[in-house]
Amino acid sequence: MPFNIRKIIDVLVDHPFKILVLVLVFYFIDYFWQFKAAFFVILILAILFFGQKQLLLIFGYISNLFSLIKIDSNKIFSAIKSFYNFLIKPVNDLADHPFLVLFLIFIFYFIDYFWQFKAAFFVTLFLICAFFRWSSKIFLGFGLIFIFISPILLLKLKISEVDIYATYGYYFLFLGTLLQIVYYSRDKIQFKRLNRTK
Amino acid sequence: MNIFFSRIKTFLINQWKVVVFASINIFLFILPFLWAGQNVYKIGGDDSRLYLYAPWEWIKNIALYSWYSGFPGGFGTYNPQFFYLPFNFAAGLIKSILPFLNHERVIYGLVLVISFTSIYFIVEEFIQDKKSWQSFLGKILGGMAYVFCPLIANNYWINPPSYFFVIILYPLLVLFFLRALSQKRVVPLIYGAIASFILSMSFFNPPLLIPLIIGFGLLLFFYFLLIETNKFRFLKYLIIYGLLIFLLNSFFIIPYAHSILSGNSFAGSAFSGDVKEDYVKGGVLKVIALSQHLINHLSGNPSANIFNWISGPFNKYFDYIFFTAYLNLILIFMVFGALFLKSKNLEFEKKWLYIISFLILILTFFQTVNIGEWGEVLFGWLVLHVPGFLSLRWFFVKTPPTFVLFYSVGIGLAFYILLKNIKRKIISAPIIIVIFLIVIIQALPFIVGYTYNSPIYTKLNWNVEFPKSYLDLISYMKDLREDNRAITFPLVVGSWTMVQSADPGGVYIGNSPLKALADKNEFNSLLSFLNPFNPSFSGTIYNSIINEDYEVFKKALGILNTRYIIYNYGLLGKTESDYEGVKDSFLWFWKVKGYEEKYKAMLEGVGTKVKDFDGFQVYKLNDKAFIPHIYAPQNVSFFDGDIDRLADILSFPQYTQSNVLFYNSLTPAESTKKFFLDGSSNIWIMPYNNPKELIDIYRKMQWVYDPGTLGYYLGELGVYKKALDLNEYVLNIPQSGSYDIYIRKNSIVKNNINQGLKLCVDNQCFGISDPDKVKISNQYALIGNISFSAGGHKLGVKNEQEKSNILAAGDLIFLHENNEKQIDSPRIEFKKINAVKYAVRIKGAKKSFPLVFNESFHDGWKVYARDSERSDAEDYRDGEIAGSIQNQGLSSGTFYENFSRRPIAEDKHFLVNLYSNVWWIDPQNIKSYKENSDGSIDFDLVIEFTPQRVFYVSAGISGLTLLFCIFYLIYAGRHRRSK
Repeated sequence: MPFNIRKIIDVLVDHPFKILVLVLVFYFIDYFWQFKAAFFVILILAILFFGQKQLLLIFGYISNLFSLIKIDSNKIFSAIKSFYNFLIKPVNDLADHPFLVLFLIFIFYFIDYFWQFKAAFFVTLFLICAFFRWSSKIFLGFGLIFIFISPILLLKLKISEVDIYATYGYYFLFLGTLLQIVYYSRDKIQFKRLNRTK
Repeated sequence: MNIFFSRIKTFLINQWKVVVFASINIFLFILPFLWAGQNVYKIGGDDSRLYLYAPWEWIKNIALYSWYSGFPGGFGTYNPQFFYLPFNFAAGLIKSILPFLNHERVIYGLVLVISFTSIYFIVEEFIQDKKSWQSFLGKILGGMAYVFCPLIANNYWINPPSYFFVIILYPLLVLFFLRALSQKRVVPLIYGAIASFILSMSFFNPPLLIPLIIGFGLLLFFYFLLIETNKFRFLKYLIIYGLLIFLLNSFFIIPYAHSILSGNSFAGSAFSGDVKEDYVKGGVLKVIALSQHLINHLSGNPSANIFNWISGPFNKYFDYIFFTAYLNLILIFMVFGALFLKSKNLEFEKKWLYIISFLILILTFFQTVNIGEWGEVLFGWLVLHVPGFLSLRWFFVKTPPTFVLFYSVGIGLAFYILLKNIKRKIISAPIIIVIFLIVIIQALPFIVGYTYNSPIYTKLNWNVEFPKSYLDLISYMKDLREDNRAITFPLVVGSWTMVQSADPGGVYIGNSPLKALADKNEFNSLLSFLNPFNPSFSGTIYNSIINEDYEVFKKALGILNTRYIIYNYGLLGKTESDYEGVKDSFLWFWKVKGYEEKYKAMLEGVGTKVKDFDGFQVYKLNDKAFIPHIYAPQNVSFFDGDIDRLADILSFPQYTQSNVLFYNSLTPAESTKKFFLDGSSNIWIMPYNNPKELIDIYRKMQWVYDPGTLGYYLGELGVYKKALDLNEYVLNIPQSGSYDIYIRKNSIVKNNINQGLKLCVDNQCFGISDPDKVKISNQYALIGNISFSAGGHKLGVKNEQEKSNILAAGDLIFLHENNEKQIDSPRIEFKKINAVKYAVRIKGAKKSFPLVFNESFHDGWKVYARDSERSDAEDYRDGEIAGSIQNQGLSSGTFYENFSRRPIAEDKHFLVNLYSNVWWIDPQNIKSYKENSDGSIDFDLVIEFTPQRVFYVSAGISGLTLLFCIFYLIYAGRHRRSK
């Protein structure tokens, strides 16, 4: 997915009316409400108007950068490549499901607006992972790291920070275990369906 | 010999798992015996363990009845205690079978063994490879992690029974259901239900049951979702289990539900109370930080962080726990770290570990209620808006049994997965040693008995050996077999009795042993005077003692049916250093210098000494002040005034023990008011402190001292003038007649006597002479007489400048006496059959008369007429007082004798004496009687607390279910053997 600035400009030139609508909507929401809301609404509308692929060109550009690293089979670069794959997989997963991304952005904004950013972050992350079946161990790993940090901070008597880390650790562990249970449950249902078809 | 040793060696090698398992159990059983001396019992505390100390007496005096007088004090309330019955029966059996052992310690040993074994087998349910050494060690570790978890060991062993015994109950409930599912048999369900029956006192503890329902409910949900293949069987078992548990426990569930739904019950009032926001903000609702839970709480030291008021020396184990807290984290890492390990051939166990880990996290939230700001907010909202949710306050105290259950199962399971992932024994061996050491090191204060002997929450040592003199006192009271109440001095904070232990340093602070062991209702604190209707008794008692007004004090004790005064001077003789801080915290009044003289004056002022034990003196209230439990008064006193003015009336010589007091303000029904007015020989009218017309203005104003009038007026907001107008009280006279006017000597009126005060009634004023000249009582003076017609009259007290004075409650009393209305009451004989049933014999009844029963008023108390043909023995106790005498010779009858009878005088059942029952008995309605030569009749009555019948029915249900369960178990056992 080569990054092409010209293509983006073409898109903009080809759809002047849509661009005008977006600008007006943005200005209107920003003026009467707030910048953050205007940004999210415009993002949603832009995905609807132009399709997500064009908006996610930026990810493609990053992809190109990593592809430059393909020099030889050196172990270091191989590790970087696997790390790159680890990073790009989520990007590709997201790029392949535009409406889901749209939905998740909406969920994120909704929770952020009515509740708080932290909750929006964790809930959206959980939903993304659950949908794309990303490993629950990512959550568990982060959780254990945070839990591990807490007592060290407590030893250093950084009382105010301890609970923040412990709470983050809790959230990660909670989502990690719940995610795996969701997978188990999904597997069981799929296994049953498979049996039925047989 | 060699063969013998080689056989033993072979046995040990082949059966090492059995040997280890048995050794651990034996060690756990013996452990409690090593903690303290043979005669020492751990009793006392919020909800004392007297039920363990004396199980048979507890059944006989408390557990069999729905009417309970043990807590908050001498007053009875509809507060069924049936849930103790099965356990007390079991404890009694243990005590009788093993009289040479400290049965409390036997039970504690069983608690350790059963809880260890239960968790051992629960872990087994989650492991497929049941025979490997890894699974064995996993199970052992799980069991040990449970019994030795400091959160349980340090904190739960000092809790009341309803808390304490969930340690074994919850694992058993979980184990038997899982076992039924895995074995596909109903029999384990029956065992589980029977366990809930035997430990019913712990089963019914909603604040603790809710975490179990959450934790176990989620476990079952995941079982149903991910494991179970036969959903129908799962649901069938669930229904059978729930039904069996309900039916077996219906003997206490149904009466308890009935008590909550019916009015005037202890539980009902606890559930319906308004919750103030202060509770949420203040000390009642406390939450702990997650990090503190993970570090300190889980390692058994919640007090270090939660109870801010405990500091310094109270944190007995803090240094030790601070050290072990970090060791404990290794176990947490092991549980969640095992999720990362390879799962080849361990899919089943990994799946369970994920589920268990999830449950641990869910329960962690309830432990802390403080993960993210929203947790605390949500919990606070629930406390404020959901009735009864307040009982879940301090949730970190309620969750541990369920939390530790899943936590220890998680530890066992994770340990198994860890060992399975280690191929080389050289690596696994040190890991095994380290993990087991962590579990043991954490629990060292518990294992060596330090936790038992020195509870973490308190400075006090609750290990008690009652001194011989106190046991003699109990025996003395028991042998008297008198049906009356006692009061113990010094009064103690809370609703407790305090007794020094024979074991140095120990002290009993808890529910009344006098009630539990001698069935003697006792007042032991100001709190114990709180009756279901109002707090006036505590105020009356307190003020009369402080003011040294023994006349009022002894009359108040009389109305309360209090005959014996126990003076625990031995306790007061202790020095501060004997019980660290006890005197400040617990012993109530007259702690100042010279208290011994004041006690002496008080006790000699109200009674006479009848017995002196070492450390305890027993006084008997004067005959002229005491009022029997059941009596027929000759005078009815009608009182209209503020509810807390009992002491004012008692200070009058006109008020004697032959009176019964009707409080108009406690009875809204007009017909009742009229009924009492017609029969009253004394009518006491007292201007209300807060007449309705003034209440709204009071709310907007402040009292201001006026040097000009030497009085107070309602200043501010420019309503002074209006207040003056309103100061002309509207005095509602219920019955026309001549009223004596009494003035209180220490009133505002009296203090302004030199101002030329006038009492103005309906625009007619007359001067008030110096009250000191005409003394009627210590407090009141007669100042004149006035004729009132029934209805409203304007009343005011004015000075020379025509300025009005605000009257305080009790400043003025109007008394109308009509001796013609004295009642020709019969003689009464009565007997307490048990806490819910009394036999009464009426002798020489001619006309209708009031029968007063000095037990807290409740609609459930009913009177039944009995067949009077029997000739009972005469076994009189105490003397005849106020025409009433206790006769233990009266027949007890059967518990069902009144089932087919209709109660009498139901429409004439009223509240009197601020707490008592009265029935107006009309001899015309009595069918069975003996006629005397003077035309009067003798007849028998029974007073019964009818809600007790709910117990008889529900106990029948439980009994039948238990029989069914036993027969089914026998049948299933035989059937299995024949197969």
